[in-house]
Amino acid sequence: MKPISLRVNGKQCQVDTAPDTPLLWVLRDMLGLTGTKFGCGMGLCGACTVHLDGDAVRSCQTPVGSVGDKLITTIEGLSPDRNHPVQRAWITEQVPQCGYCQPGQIMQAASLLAKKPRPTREEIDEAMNGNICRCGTYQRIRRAIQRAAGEIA
Amino acid sequence: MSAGALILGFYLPRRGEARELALDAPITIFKPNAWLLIGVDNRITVLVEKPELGQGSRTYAPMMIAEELEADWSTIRVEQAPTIPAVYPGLRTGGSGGVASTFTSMRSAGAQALEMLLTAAAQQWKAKKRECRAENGVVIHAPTHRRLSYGELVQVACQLPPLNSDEIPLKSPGTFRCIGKAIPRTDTPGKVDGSAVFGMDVRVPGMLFAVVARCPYFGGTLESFEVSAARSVPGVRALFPIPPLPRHINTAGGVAVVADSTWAAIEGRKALALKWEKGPGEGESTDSLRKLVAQRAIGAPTLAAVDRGDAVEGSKDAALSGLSPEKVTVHMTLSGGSFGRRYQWDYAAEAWQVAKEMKQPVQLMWTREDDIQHDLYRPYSYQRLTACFDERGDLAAWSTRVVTTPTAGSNLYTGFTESPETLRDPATVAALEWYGADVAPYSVPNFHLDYAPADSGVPRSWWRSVASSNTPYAKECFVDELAHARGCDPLRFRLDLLKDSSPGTARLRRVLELAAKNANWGKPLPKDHGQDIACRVGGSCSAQVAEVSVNNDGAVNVHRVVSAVDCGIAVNPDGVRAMTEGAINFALTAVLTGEITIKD
Repeated sequence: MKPISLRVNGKQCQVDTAPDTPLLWVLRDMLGLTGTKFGCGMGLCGACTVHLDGDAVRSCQTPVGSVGDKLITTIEGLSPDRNHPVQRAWITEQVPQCGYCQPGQIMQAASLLAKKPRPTREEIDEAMNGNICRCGTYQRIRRAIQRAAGEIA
Repeated sequence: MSAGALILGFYLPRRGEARELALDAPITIFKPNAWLLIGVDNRITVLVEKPELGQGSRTYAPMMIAEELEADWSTIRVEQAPTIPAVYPGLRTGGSGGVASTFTSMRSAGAQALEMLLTAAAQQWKAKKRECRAENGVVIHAPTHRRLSYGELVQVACQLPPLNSDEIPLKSPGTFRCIGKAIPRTDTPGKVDGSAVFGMDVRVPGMLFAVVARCPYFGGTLESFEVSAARSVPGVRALFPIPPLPRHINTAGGVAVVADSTWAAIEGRKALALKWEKGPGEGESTDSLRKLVAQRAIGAPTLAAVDRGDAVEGSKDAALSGLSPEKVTVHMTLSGGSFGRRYQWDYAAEAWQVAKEMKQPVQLMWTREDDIQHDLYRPYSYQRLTACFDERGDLAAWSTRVVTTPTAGSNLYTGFTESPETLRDPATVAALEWYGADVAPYSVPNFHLDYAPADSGVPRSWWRSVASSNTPYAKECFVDELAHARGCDPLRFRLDLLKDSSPGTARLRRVLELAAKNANWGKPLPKDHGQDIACRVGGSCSAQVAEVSVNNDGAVNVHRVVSAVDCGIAVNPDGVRAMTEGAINFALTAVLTGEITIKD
């Protein structure tokens, strides 16, 4: 099997695995990046969300062989020090309860704000609809996104 | 959960620096009790025993300790307490009692430590202890303005004899500086940068990954399995059957697939050829359950417990591994939201079965399909309520029949303190299922409550709020029907039934009125919008008003929910808000979109 080269959080690395292996498991089991979570394996929950060249994708539905030289960013690489506006807003609004879905929520929100710095409430709801949270932190997620967008002080 | 009954197939090396301990090394840590470590560097480590599932134990326990300890919050860090049941009596999270059950014990731990620090300071200064007071991590001797930080007192404090916390008075709530504040949670930073470690994030050297193909029929068995295709999936290391475990541990049994990665294990499982035999529950379905509970709702009341299998015999296998408890170490990580699921230990027992066979550390993964299919289901509940009014129009009599597929009974041994015999006692079975159905504090002169169990092969356990997720629901819906029958406003109707002046009734009236006021009860609503109110009293009490509209096609839109909560002292008000918000979303999801169907 030919090793697959990947750029993850600014670093170059290689993995030995079949190209149809979902990126989620490459990140978690082969590269030791366990911040990205497994929730359903079917692209229904959003817990596995990472960025490819800044765009949010579900890593459980992304074959590692399809990534090519796109830059993969995981929650660990979003900022060096929790300083991303979304992360800061998540702390100010005290969003997480159990926290399991939150890396996926944060990555989805960060991708939204990179494209739409001032999203309407409808745009927030639409962008975040695929990230589910059983603890029910939805109202705080929305408020934190509005805070990160500068809508609330 | 006792260490003897909870089995893990792995060992996680302790994180953090290794400390060299020479015999003559200076003392660097003061450990006044099992929950506190104070270092010479002035850092305070709080050991939290209650597993953190997002409900906030890693923040509330330290807050209660810090209050009495007069600690500087910025010097506090939190760690999970080691799983030693003899030392930590509260090593479980469940029953909605974490804060209430530890409000005194955690504060006592803080107070005891402070008492020793004050004694140490007085000794060091050769001063009177009553002239010393503590403030924000520092002990002050007022007459001479001398100050010592807790870290500076460690070495003297370590020489003091141990102190019993029972006699030490606690602060009065009026003097709280920490309790009652919306302090940010201690676990939030790790949960926003991916560093928080959950069970499936644990990695140890030599660890393999496994999934189990479980029997899809409750109580069924494995008839045959064929592994040649699965064996040739790259990364698959082993395939073997694991037997179902006795009723009280309640695993389905099946075929384990062990591999060097989770994906390989999942792919290997897909390639298995499996034949299953249906169990005694064959033929049970959602429809049959529906018919059965309806029958039990009008038949003669009986408190007889369902009896299937032998719970007494099964409980003798509690020490599954055969290892003595001292040889078993449980490492508690952060957990996802659970809501009752992890109060059982079936998943740990299965992991043991697989690890024992492999003689290597194994992480046993449940996929979402595994999780839904082999969850422990909440009881199926069906309630029949009748009431009547007297000539004056007052509520005269009320009768409730609760029917459930009960949690207790021989299908599942659920208790940690109850013996199997107790759980077969009809009164115990009923009590676990009908609480919340009693009408109090509404005043009704004649009230009757009884229970009938419905047999089912579906394994049951606790779900968020347990019986309170269904009995108050039925009660409050029924109160609304009564109000409607009398042509009475639902709020007014309830307040009229809360006549007596007992504290419980007064609390309930207050939350009803507060919720109604904030929801603009009685004010004009947009077209097609309706409002209603419900309440519940337990340890805490709460009332909620929902504003709802229904489309022509029957779709329900919830526009606003106002909740009033009286939980006594709110240790962290933002935490109470967070739990309430989450509970509202959780309940609405269950009511509007949740469904479980059973077939074959």
